[in-house]
Amino acid sequence: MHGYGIASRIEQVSEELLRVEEGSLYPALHRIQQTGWIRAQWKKSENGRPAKFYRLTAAGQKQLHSEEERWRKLTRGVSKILRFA
Amino acid sequence: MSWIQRLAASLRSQKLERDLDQELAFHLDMRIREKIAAGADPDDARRDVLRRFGSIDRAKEACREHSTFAWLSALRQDLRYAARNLSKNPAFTAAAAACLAIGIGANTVVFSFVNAFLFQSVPAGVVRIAPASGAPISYLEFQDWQRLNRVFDRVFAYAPGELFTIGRGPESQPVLGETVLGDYFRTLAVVPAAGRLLDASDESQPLAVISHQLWRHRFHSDPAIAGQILWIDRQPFTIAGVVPAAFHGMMAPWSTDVWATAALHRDRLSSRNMGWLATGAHLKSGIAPRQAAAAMNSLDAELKLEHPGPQPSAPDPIVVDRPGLSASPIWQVFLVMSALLMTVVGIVYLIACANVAGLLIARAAARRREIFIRLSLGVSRGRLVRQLLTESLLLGLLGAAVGAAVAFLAGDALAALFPTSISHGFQFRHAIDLRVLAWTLALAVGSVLFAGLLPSLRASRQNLAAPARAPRLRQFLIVAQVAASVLVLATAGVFVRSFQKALALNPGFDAAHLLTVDLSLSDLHYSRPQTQDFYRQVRDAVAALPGIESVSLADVLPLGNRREVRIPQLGAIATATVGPDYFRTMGIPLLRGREPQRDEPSLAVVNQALADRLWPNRQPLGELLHRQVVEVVPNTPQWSLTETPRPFLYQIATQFDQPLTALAIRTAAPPANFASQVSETIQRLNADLPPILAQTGEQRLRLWLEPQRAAALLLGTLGLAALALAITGLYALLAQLLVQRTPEIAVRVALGASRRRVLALLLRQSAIPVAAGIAVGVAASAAFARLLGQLDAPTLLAIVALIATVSAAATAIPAYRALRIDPASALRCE
Repeated sequence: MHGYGIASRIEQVSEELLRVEEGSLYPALHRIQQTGWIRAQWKKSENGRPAKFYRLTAAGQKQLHSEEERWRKLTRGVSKILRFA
Repeated sequence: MSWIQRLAASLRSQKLERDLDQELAFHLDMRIREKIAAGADPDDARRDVLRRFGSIDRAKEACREHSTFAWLSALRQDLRYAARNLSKNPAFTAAAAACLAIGIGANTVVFSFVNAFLFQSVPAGVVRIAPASGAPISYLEFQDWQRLNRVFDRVFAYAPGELFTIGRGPESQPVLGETVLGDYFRTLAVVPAAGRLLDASDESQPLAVISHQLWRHRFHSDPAIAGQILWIDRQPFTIAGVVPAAFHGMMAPWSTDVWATAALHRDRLSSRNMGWLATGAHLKSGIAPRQAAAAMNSLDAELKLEHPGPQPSAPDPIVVDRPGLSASPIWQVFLVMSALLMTVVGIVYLIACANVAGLLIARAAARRREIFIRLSLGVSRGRLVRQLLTESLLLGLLGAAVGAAVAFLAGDALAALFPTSISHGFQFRHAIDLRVLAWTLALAVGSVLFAGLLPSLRASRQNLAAPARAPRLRQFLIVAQVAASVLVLATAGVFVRSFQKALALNPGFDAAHLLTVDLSLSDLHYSRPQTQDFYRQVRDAVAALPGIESVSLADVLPLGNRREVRIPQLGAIATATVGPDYFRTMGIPLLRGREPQRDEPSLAVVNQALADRLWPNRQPLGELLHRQVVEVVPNTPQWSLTETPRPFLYQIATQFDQPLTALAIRTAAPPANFASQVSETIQRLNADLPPILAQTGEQRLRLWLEPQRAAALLLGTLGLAALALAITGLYALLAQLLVQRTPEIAVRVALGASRRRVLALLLRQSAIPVAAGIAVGVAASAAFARLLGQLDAPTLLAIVALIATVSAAATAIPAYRALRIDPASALRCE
C-alpha cells in the first residue's frame, strides 16, 4: 500500500477520528523501512501512476503482533484503572 | 569541498532525492484529486492540501536522516571537520604526522625487505630430504632416490649458491646460479613468465632459465627470449624461459639469477663420493614425512650395501622435513634479524603512537572549551568520539603516506648499505608491493586504535562541572614510553657492543703484514697437471719478489668458503687443503707437535677443538684419514668471527689442482704496498686470467665485520629514532602536566615555599613514572637479552643514566618556566 493509501485508510477505518499528520507520515515510513519491518517497491497505482508501495515483512509481522499485545495490555490496564476511579 | 566530492555526493543521492520527490508528489496529487472530485476549486484544493501537509522541506529532511547514506554524509562531515581542524593547527599536525611517519615508515622499510622472502611460499606436500648432518649428496645417489623411492611422486635436486659468469669478454658478469635436476620447477609450482621452465627430461641438454630481474635488465624483457644463447662459464646454453618475479631460488635472502641443467658439471655425474646436491621432493598423497623418512632410510641402507664407500662412514640418517629450502648460510641469521627488526620497529611504532596519544590528550585539554560547547549543544558522545577518531585517522593516513614515500625512497639506499659480505654483490629483493601497502595502511588504522581511542574517549567524557582530573593516563603513557625506549636502546646496545667486541677479537691469525689473493682458473680450462704447474709458477713468482717473507697456497682461507669432509666417528668436519708453509705465512702459532716441512705432503694438522675431541688430555697425536697428524694449532674462526670453536682439519699438500685456490703472502713491510705488484706479477703469467684482486688481511677481516657493523648501524639508528621520539613525547607529556599545575605551583610559591623546594617536589613527582618505566624497561631488556645473548651491565647502566638525565631535563625546563611566572598573574589566569 502506498503512503497516500495508508493515510486515507487510517482516516476511513477510524471514521475520521484519527487524522494522520501527513508531514510525519513519510519520515515514519522511511524509519520503519530502515528497521526492516516494511519493504518498499515502485509499482503502478490504481490510476496508472507509479507509486511507492510498502509491504509488511515477516519481521514486521512479528513486531506488529508484539506491539498489538502490548497495546492490549496497556488499554486493559488503563480501562481497569478508569473503572476503579 | 572540491567539485569532485560534490559530484560524487550528488550522484549518490540523486536517485534517493528523485524517489522522495516522486513519492511526496504522488501523495499531494492524490489529495488534490480527491478534493476536486468532492467539488472543490482546483486552486483552493491545492492550497488546502499544502496547508494540511505542512512543510514539505522538513518532511524531506526528516526522511533523508533515515536514508542508508546518512552515515556516509556524516562521515563526510567528520572528515571535513577533521581536515579543517588539523589544518588550523599546523604545528600539532606536523608533529603528530612526523611521529607517525617515523613509526610507520620504519615498519614499511623493514617489511618491504622481509616480505619478498618470508612469503615465498613452498607448496603443500613439498619436503626437504637430507642426511641429518646436512651433507650434500652425489648425483648417483640422487638418481637412485629418484628411481627407487616409493613415497614421493616428484623428486628434484639443486646445487644452490654457484657463481656463474655469464656472457663473454667485456660483457661478462658474475651472477648467482643454481644447477637444477629433476622436477625442480614443477614441484615448487613455479609458472614461467616467458618461455618454459626446465623439467626432468631436460637433464642432458645445456639449457638455462633466467630470473625476471636478469631478463629485464640484460635482455630488456625481450618476449622472444626463449631459444637465445646464454654463455655460462664459457659454455653456450639455450635459454628455455624466465621465472616470475616472485621466485628467488634456493639461496634466500639472495636472489638467484640463472638456473641451469647439470651440463656444467659433467665431471661430477659419474661419482658416488662427490656430494654436491641438496634434494627436495613432493610427497605422494597420504604419506606423512615420518613414513617417507623411514622408507628413505631403508632405501639408503640397501644402497649403502650395494655401493659400499671407500671407508666406513658414521651413521647419518636421512631426515625428511618441511623446508627451509634455503641453502644460504645467512638464512638463519636473516630470519633472526628479520624477527628482531620487526620487533624493534614494532616498538618504535608503539612509541610513536604513545607520542601522538600524548599530543592528542594535550590538545583535548586545549580544546576543552570547544568540546564543552558541543556537548552542551547536544552532540551525542558517540558522534563526538567518532569525530575525534576521524581526526586521528587522518593523522595516521598522513603519517602513512609520508612513511611509505620515505620507505620507497630509502629502500634502494638501504639495500646499497648492505655489506658486500652479506650481499656478495647479489641483490636483496625489496619492493613496495600491494602487501607492503596493505601493511602500511593497517598500521595507519592501528594508530587510530593505539593513539586515538583513549584520548578521544577521555575527551568526550569531560564533565562540564569538574576540571580535567588527575592525569593517570598520562602517567601510564610516561611509564610505557620510558620502558619501550629502554628496551629499544638496550637492543641497539647489544649490537653495538657485539660489534665493538668483534673489532677487538683475535681472529686466530696475524692479519697485519698479510696479503691474500683469490685465484680462479676456471676460465683457463687447464688440465690437472697444467693447473698444478701454474700454481707452482704463481707461488714461485710471488715468492721471488723483494720484501716477501713467505708464500703459501690454500684452497680455503679463514672466514672463507666452507668445505667439509666426512670422517668416521666424527661426521662432517670442516677442512682445508693448505701448503706446508701455510701456518708460518698466516701467523698461526704452534700449540703442540712440529711444523710440517716444505717437502712433506700427506700430513695433517688439527685445531685445538679437533685435538680435544680425538686425543683429550694431551694424548699423543695419531692418524686421521691416513695422514699423520703432526701439529695442533689454535682454533681459527672459519665462518664468522663470533662462532664457537669447531673442529677443523688442515690437510697438507704440495700440489694444488682445484680451479679455485687462494694465496697467502706474508710481507716484511705494510702489505698494501705490495698489492699492485703482486697482482701484476700474477696477471703477467696468463693474460686470460680474470682480474686479480689482492686484499690485505685487515681488509679481509673488515669485510667479515660488515654484517655486525651493519646491524649495529641499523639498530643504533633505530635506537636513536626511538630515543628522539621518546624524548619529545616525554617532554610534551611532562610539560603539559606542569602547565596544568601552574596555579598550584603559584599558590605554593605565594604561600612562601622556596622555588628550589617546589622544583625538587616536581622533579620527585615526575621521577616516579620515569623510574617505574625504567624498571619495566630493564626487566624487559633482561628477558630479551637472554634471547639475544650478551647485554652487559655497563651498557645497560649507561642507557638508564641517559634516560634518567633526559627525563629530568624534560621536567626541569618546563618546571623552571612555571616557577618563574608571577604567582599573581598565574592565579588570575584561571
